[in-house]
Amino acid sequence: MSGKEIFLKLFQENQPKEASSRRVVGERGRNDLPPGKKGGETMTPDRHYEHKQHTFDSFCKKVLKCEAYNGYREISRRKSREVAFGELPEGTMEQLASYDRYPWEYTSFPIGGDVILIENDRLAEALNALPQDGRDILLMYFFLDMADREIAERMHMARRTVNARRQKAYRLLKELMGGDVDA
Amino acid sequence: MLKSASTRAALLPYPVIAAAVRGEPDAVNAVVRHYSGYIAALSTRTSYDVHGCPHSYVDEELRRRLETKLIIAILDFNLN
Repeated sequence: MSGKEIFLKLFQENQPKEASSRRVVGERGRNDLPPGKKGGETMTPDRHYEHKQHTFDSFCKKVLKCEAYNGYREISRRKSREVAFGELPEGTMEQLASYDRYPWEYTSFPIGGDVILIENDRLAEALNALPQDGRDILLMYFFLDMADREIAERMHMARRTVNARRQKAYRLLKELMGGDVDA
Repeated sequence: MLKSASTRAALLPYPVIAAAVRGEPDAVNAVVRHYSGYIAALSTRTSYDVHGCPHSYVDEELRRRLETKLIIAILDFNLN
């Protein structure tokens, strides 16, 4: 017999058929006997059952109440931390943003296998105005973090030549960008 | 489910409890159905619309959570 059938059978049995069929024997407000009892039997095992029924009822209610408490606490905690997207402070908003880079926003300078992108128009113009070798040396020195010796190897010239041309190009660049030239 | 005026109706019959603790699906369903009213009452929340009118609704997420918790807890009930 499945649980559902047991449930239905017992439930129907426990319904008084009519007003006169009320059975006596009260236990915590009950006015009918456990199933299959005529009254007058020893009640010990049944009282155990009944005790368990009450225990189970209390157990389930407690479980539900505590879990509901947990649920509501979680909801209120989430509510206190959640911020609407539109109300985010600007600093946080910037962290989430991503900026697209378009080819017309920067000038690219290819050097060997590397491409250096420069967004600053003024700097890019000044760099373009420099002679080819000076520009390459400057870019390698400042953007690729190469030492003079490495630049010299790459460009097939002496280290000192690199140093001298870099300084010359740097001075020229400074002049082009309107800065004071100091040695 | 039918509820008679007597307190008797508020208690599940012992065999159903025993079957539910053993994990029989029909009995577990009967228990969940028996407490569905209480679950719904617990998971009813009140929200206020733009005009400040209270509007109560059953939080489905909370209801599912309570049902799940009840089913898990039933299996741990000590029958002895």
